[in-house]
Amino acid sequence: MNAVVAEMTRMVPYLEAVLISIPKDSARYKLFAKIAEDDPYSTPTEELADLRLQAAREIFALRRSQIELLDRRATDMGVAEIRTLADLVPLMFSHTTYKSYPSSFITKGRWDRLLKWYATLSAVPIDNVDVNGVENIDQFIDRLRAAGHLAVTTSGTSGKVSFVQRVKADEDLWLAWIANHYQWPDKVVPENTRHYFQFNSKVGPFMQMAAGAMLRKLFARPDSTHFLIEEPYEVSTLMRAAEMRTKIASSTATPQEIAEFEAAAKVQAAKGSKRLDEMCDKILELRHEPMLVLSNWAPMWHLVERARAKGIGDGEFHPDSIIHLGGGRKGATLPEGFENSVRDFFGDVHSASGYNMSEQSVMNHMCESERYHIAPWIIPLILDQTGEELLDHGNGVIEGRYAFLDVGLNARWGGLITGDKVKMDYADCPCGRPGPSIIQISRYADLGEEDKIGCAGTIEAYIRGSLSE
Amino acid sequence: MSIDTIERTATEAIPVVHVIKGHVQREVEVEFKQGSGLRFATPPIDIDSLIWPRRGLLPASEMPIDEIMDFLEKVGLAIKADTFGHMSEALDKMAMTCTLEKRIIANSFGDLPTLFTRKVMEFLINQELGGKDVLDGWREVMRPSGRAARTRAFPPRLIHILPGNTPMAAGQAIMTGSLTKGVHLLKMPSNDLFSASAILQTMAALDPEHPLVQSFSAVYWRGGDASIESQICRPQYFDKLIAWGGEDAIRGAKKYAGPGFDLITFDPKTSISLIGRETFENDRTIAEAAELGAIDATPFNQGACTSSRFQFIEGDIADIDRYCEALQANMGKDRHLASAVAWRVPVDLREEIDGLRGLGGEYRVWGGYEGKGIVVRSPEPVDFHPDGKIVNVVPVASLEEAVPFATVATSTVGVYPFARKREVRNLLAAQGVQRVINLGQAMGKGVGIPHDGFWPLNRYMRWVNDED
Repeated sequence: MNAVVAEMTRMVPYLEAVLISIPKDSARYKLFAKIAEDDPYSTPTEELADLRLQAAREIFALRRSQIELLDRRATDMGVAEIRTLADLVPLMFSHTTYKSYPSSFITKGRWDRLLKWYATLSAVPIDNVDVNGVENIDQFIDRLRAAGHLAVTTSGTSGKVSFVQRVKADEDLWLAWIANHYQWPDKVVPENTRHYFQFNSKVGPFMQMAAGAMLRKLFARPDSTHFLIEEPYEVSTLMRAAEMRTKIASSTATPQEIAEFEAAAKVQAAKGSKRLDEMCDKILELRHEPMLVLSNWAPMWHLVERARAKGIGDGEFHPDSIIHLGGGRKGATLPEGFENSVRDFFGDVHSASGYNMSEQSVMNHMCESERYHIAPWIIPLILDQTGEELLDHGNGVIEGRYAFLDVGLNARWGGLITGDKVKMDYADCPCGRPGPSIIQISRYADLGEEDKIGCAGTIEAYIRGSLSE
Repeated sequence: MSIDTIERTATEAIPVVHVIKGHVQREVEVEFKQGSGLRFATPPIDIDSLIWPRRGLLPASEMPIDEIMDFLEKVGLAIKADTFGHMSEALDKMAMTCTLEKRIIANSFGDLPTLFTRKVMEFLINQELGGKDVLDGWREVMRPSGRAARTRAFPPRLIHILPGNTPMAAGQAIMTGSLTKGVHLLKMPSNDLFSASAILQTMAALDPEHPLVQSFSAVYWRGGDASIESQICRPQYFDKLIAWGGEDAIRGAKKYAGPGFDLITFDPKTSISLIGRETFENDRTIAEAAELGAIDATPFNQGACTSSRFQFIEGDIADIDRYCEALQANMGKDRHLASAVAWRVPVDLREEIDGLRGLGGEYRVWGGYEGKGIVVRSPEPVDFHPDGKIVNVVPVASLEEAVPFATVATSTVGVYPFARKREVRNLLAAQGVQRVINLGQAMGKGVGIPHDGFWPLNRYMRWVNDED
């Protein structure tokens, strides 16, 4: 490492760990090194585009030799090299890719087969994982972690979970990004000075929990951490719901079994609701001191309602507080305009918006002009609705399906097509930074294929009750 | 960009015709846009025009059924000859809005006239109502008490929420509806905005004053639009609502069911095939089973509820693989209601299948993602819903072992060899299955036998008594 880099990384927390294993003359190195810049989103459009294309070439060549599924896809699609970004389109994976295993591997305990499937998506060898004696999905995940594979899962409404491979290098990049640019553009310096509230389990294989651990390390007072659930999150709980669905679908569940399952879910919900109130009360009690709150939207709306009932008004929070809101509404019914009510309630605190998903290496930030800028090493691609063609953006605004290649992922292929409909401006942003920037995000699933009626259908329509809500 | 896409992104919204009791409305005012970017426009709807006031007899109530069938036969001939040009207009517009290739839509339109033949209509009436007498008058029976009772299949007031996967549904609703002598509001779906109104326009052109013409309307409104549905779905105006498939359509319609307002549902379904080890007796039997299996898998590029999606098969793996290979090849042929190359497999399904490809051993995949058809062999049914010409072949030790895979959502089970239907039909029926067929006959369904487990025409009627 030359003197300049050594100096740079000393000044920039966590960056050295990110750069240490990457060739210095590579485009990826140059992209990651932008973490050291005061404004990582300031690279001129053309320079960034060139670096990104070069980085895409590098990562494709590297990952193709490591990831079986990517190699097969490239062969099937006849992609030998990345000449332009359009060559990336047929190589995009989707959320489905990461749950494309047969669910019987879990229900029948065929962990060796599940591991084999996982291996086809991993850029690092997983033959160091021992699945002997594994009894359930949580133990399987534990074994992965014990061998250095920090797999995160995401849950779908079907109850089938995805498995997304991560390794320590991914955490290093996340830490470097957060340590230097958290709450960008109104950045917050890492200091362990804040009460910490996390509205889910303390530990568990979800990205939000992994992120929570890293946020605590950088920002939380060790003597004041609060969690909605102290016990580790169990993915098996999700699986039980899926198993019950299967039993109902095959007409083998008894009415009593269904009733007991629904009753147990209600008891669990009641327990959660009591703890939620305690957490909210603690936040209200400490509102004049700096805190970091990590939550989805629904609990925060509950907090606002509880505060109002106690006669606590808007804007009473300490200005050094950080309110980190993420995730969708997860089926919660929330009133019109609830987001503004929540923001008004917290008042003048740090509450930056981001465009994030579990499959990305880091969060993309929103600028002063309320547009999302994209982390240097995440290459955005706007495709047609079907996701088959790269749209020609010229230098203006286009709208289409969002896909990206994230070259910051160390343990898997970073190409992903999303269900998001994105409006992107390739010209400079009104905030003064170079383009491209995202103007608007909506979901294709929400837009609907209205009113098409056919006679073909699945068993899903025949399962009534809370399980299908 | 294909020519197909250029047509669909044409700047003009495609005009949709409404027909209200014989009056053809072409002045469009309301525009709709779909997720695909397709735009179409309809005339404005006057909700008062959608009902038939409940006073006096309905227009066709007292017309003898033979005269009704005379007229319907003329309608069939006019559709076949396209005497007035409405059918080809509908075909052209539908080709612009529908994902199926024009040849298939044309073939479906070509199948319509058979519905309007005397033989078919009389078979339907005899099977479902026991004869014409009960339509034209009051059928008398002597009861055990010694008192007589007379029953008439009285003309009903019906709303049909039509499906769009085939124009046959519109044809069937109009033919069957005519035989009831009742009144019928046809709500068109966004995936078939043209065939119901084309048939009604043809009828109006034949005889604008005909009582049957006065008995039908076909319009489009966005499904679930409460400003229309909650006003007209009342027992004062209509007796029953018939929802032809689509989970959302049925859940939407359910809101309005109540005393005096019935809901009849043709449920959304999945279909499967059971294939016996006799398939592997010789090359001819393999070829036959694989051809019949492909015929059942591909109608409307697997868009029908009767399209086979899962095929359970007896045999050793090497034999089963021969079947899979032949099946996949046969799925890539142009057929009456299927395209050799349908559409590219959507990303999510591609990812599901790619995930299985890498597993080897118990999982094997035939075919690519270009739309010619894919066969996936797996030790148990795959987690995803095979669609767009994708068949999941699952080895089983015996056909009986496959029975539990049929559920209350299973419509049709094709069996090969045909003689083995007897061995499984009662067990399948107990699982919830409605049709057990010779493999290859998935689309062979005609009128006059039960549909979705009931007699539709019989159930449309209002059964009214005159009791001594």
